[in-house]
Amino acid sequence: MKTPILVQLQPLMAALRAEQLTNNRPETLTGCYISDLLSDVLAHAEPGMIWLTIQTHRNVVSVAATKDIAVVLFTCGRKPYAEVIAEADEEGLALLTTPLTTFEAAGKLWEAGLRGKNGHE
Amino acid sequence: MFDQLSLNILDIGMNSLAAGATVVRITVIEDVPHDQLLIRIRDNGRGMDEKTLRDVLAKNASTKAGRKKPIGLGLALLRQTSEMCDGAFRIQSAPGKGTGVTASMRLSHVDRPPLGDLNATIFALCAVNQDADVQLHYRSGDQKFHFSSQEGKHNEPRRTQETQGKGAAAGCAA
Repeated sequence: MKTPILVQLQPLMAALRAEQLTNNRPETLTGCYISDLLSDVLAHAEPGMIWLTIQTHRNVVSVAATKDIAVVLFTCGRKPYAEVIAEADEEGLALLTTPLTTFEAAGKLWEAGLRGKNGHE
Repeated sequence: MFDQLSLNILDIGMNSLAAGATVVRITVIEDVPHDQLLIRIRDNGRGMDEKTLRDVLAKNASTKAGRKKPIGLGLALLRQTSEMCDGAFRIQSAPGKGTGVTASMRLSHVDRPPLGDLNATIFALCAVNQDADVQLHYRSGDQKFHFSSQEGKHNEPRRTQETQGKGAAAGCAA
């Protein structure tokens, strides 16, 4: 297992045109996983990752908390309900939203040096 | 969300067996004229008290209480799938009275997952607890299918002693 390449989140916010929804936001990211199927995320995501999805259901928070995911980035301008944001704050999870599509946002993250599972390229 | 509804059924059926159910009745109805898919899992397990039920429904999959164990996530996932596909989700439970879960969805909804391998789900549940009666009631249009893992079993043992070979074979088939 490769040591994950840590990428700073703060400098990425502008490129992603991301809006921060929760109070908390981590300093660094360990990698990225993309899926809209929650059971798939349960199977493959790793701690400290940023997860890109269009799903805004509260189950997203449960899954992210279970897998110790650091940030959920909702793409295509999607935003969860206020209750979901409050639950994320309680769990210490950060939620962001971007008008970019999932592909576009993933491109920005890759350019910034972020990689996938086990640092795979 | 799972990519197959049969995995949701497996997940909830496993919970039924874990809750000490001796009968798990799974009903799947594909109602094409009304464009509805109905899934029901009814058990006679120990059931849930009001607080647990409330947690399952309101807090969904709370990861609280020490261990990061997704308690109730299975129900939360089925509920999400059901609501996403224009359906309704209902759960009834009381201590000592078992639990019933009903999920409906629009059959033709683009995001509705396929039923998947229902056979494998039933087989797995039968294998987990061979003494429990795992039932499948499936209906699609005029087609009906009923299965019970204990069918014949209760009658067979007596006959087994009379006509050994036949009884044993029937036991295996069940």
